[in-house]
Amino acid sequence: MQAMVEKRGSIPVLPKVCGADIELGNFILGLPEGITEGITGTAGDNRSGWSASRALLDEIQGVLQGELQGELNNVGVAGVAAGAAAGSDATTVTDVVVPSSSWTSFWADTWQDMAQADGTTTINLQDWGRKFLATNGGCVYIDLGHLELCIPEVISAFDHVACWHAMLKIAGAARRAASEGLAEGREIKVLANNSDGKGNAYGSHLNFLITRRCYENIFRRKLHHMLFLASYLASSILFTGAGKVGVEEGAVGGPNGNGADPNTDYQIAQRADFFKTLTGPQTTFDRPLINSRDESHAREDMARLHVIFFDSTLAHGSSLLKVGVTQIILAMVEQEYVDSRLVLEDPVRALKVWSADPDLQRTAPLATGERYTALDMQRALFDRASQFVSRGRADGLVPRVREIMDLWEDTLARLATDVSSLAGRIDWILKRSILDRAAETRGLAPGGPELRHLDQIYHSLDPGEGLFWAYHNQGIVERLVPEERIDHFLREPPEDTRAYARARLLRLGGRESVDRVDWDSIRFRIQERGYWPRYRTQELADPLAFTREETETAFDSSSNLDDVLDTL
Amino acid sequence: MRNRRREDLENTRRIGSGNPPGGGSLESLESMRRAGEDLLSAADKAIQRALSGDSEAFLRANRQEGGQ
Repeated sequence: MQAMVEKRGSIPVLPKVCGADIELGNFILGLPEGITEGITGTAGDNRSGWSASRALLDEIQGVLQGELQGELNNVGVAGVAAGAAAGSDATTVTDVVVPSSSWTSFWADTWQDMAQADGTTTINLQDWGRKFLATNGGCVYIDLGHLELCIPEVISAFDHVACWHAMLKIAGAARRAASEGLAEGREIKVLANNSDGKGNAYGSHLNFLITRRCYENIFRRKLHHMLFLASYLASSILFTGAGKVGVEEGAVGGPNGNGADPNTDYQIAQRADFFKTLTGPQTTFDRPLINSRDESHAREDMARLHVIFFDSTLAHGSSLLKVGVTQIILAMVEQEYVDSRLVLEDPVRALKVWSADPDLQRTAPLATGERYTALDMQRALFDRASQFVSRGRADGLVPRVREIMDLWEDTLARLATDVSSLAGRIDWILKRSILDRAAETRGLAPGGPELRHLDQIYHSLDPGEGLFWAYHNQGIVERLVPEERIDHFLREPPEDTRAYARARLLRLGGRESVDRVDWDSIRFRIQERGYWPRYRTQELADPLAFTREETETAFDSSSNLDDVLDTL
Repeated sequence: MRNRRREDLENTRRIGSGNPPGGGSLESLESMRRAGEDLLSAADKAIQRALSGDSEAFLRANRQEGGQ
């Protein structure tokens, strides 16, 4: 099955399929001071992310990707061993988290594997224990000590919001279950944010389907397309920022310093401090605004734009605008509907200046010499997008595009006239309102530990703790997707992408038959009467194919794996 | 077999032209804004719970690995 690539004029275009890979903050509260965790920890550094993420992963049901299947099956309990002495009786997380001495020292083995004399590693610390979900077709794994949630491919931004909140529910349930296994007084905390406030950032990546031609234009042929995109991203923090107390890495000085006042009390974007360059393939250091990782998980004429820029947002409005407006902008870039005048002179620096200005007054220079506020830039982009959409050029590529445009327009109007009216729609504004009120009514010091604590728990997945949920669950924040749609994605995949067939195939094959699964293929190990199994691979190279419409009949007509694969 | 114009996905509410979603009308957002004190007080209990704990201890424990 393969979708035809449509052309607008002479330019190939693709619906803006969106996926996501999002790292969570996770740790164990209640451990003694001076604890050391294995893997990457240093003595007494009080990190517990690897242990927390492992415990969370253990609680989520899924089909292992394949490579570690046997190894994982023999490991029973979460925990971390090894680590240098730390001036405390309990020197490792394992000593205090896992009361039994009978558990398998998985991490100790792993750590030793990593530390081989020749410097080689035997596991990938950025992709460990990946499990695909037979429910919705997404997946979960551990990335550098963070539980990572991968949202199945969707076309509609509304479905993205619903899938994201479904994945948060899955992580929240894992948190509850994993915490029950801990000693009294200890609890696993899970935060859907992007920074610990101590200079450690973790990503909330979105992935968009674009044509290969579009990718080549951005990175190799028409660099004003890259700058146009970067200028959109830098100014998009007005609705995509999750808000943050203070300034972290790169606050001042050096060629990549952000020029912001290190005494900044509040920033719009959590990640602004961590972007240092315009483009590059890296994601863990000198992070680029426009990530060039070329890993399509799709056919050769398709590419994936790996957008590492955004914050994890909880408000439906922020999340919907983040995906929906980016879909529109990418459709414009793909069709070369780019205005080369709307290009910032230094997008990285503009991001940092705008992020540190929640009053929305500061300007940044364009390449033309004009100076724009972030709102000026967004208004100009909106005007350009309005022309594009009104000509029907986003039709069929961005579902419900006019609704997204309406929401975008209304949001920009309110940013100009009445920012506080957006507290129910935009995360950084809601968080700022909460922190301002807490500071005012309780006399809390700007940048003090209490406000930094509240900043963190705004994002907590514990509904009794998370400040966002205090509003969401009372119906005070806008709901753009109904709870029923969110719950639907706890059980079912999106129907209009290959995620549908992936989930159905995982259910049909089960853990026994799935030998290896990835975004674009599944290999089955079919054991028959003989000793040697047969292997069959189902390619899923087209994100737009293998939809419910195309495959449901095959799945419903037989419960035999071979029969279904023959039909597909 | 494929319909590229998926303007209506089931179970998601359409946003009316010119009307912000959520409450379904501009009035709903305006009323939300006017109810400012009530809105902000919604998290007071959660804030109280958080601040009755040890913020310093929380901040010592939440150190993360640098990620992607």
